[in-house]
Amino acid sequence: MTLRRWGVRCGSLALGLLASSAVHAHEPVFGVGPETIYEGGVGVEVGWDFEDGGDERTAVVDTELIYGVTPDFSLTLEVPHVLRRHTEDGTRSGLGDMLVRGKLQVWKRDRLNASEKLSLIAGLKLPTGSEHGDVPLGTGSYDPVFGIAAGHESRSWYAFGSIRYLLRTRHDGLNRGDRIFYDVAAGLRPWKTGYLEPDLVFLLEFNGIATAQDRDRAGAVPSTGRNVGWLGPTALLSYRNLMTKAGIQFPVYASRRGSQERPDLRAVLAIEVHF
Amino acid sequence: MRRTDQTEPYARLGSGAAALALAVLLLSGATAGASEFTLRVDGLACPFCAFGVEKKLLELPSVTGIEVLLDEGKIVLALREGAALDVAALDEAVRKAGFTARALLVRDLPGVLSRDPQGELLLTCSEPSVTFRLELDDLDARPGIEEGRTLVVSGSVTRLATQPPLLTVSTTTE
Repeated sequence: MTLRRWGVRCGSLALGLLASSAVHAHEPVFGVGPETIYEGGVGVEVGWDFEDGGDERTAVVDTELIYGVTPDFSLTLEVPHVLRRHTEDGTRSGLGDMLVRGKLQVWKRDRLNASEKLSLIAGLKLPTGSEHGDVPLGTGSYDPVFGIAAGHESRSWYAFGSIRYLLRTRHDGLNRGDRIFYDVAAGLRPWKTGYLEPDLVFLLEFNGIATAQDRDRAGAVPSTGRNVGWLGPTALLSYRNLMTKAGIQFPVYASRRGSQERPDLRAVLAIEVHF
Repeated sequence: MRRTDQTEPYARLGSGAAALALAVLLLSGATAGASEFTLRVDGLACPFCAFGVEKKLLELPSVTGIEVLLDEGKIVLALREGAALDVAALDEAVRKAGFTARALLVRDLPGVLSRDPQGELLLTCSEPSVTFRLELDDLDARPGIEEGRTLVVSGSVTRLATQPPLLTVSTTTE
């Protein structure tokens, strides 16, 4: 497979790996919120992520480990295992590109039954997935990501917003287009329950991913670069230290260069436990 | 699914231990068993978030159980008999959980009055073991406020990290 076609394939895979994130407490399922975990706390999340777009389908089991260094600073390690990645060039499974991310809460306002928070996010995508073959599982590059997330949480309603920038570095002569992730979400808790009772929250999430064109020695790579906006409902059901979450999204707009397939849907089903 | 915030049993306080403690208090004639300590905590919006508060408070040697009242933003504490109560440690535990402790509410706490070298009024309690500095309105006009007297007080501590903690008294009984 040529370097250019390889760049196109890896682009859509990386999209799936970075669009979702660990949920610390109540946070968007497809985006990133400002929450951290309590000091010394350990969280484990296992999730199934699915994305479908024309001839390409990707299913990933994402395992995340979260540790609270301080109440304001958490570290997360994401380990994606690609269950199945199917493209017109074939099918493959294996380890994808891992991600190490830190979240620093720089501002917080606690009130009775409510809080507002603002956090800075920084991370690094590692080239742990195989970049070779007709169906690569990784990009072969170290790509840093930076961002900011804010949110409101109360007994009745939620609101979140975030923006992240993925700086994609050159590898093997190919410079993939940088990405901007922009997210907003709003949610409701329809029934207020007590501490040792199940708790259900519904969110409506909008997530946008704008990707610049890839470039190689010959210039801009055709059929790369796009801007996709996703919209859909998510639900978070928790009990004490256990949370299950599920969501599905459909594209509301998809601006694509060249002959790129239009994405169809993406979905997440995950469980998170805090210790 | 219940739709109202209802109180839940103390986490980790066995029914046998609770019954024994009540029997001892009744036999001793003391009112210490009726004392109640409640933290007012800001930022508590969801049960999943509150787990961290449970974890951090139960790490303290003096706390045997908690009861989280989410809608009121309160955590009722069950304290170990004979333990020393460290109010600043309660504040720190809530902070490490990611929340803000606004006040410690004290109800029906008996203690012995004394004065420190600066003349400040102190209340020394044995169950739990703790000394509060008292802030009392109309101090000179209140009957029974003299050193060596036993007093039962209710009130609140709003600056939990201060040593000794300052208890703003709302009611007193002898």
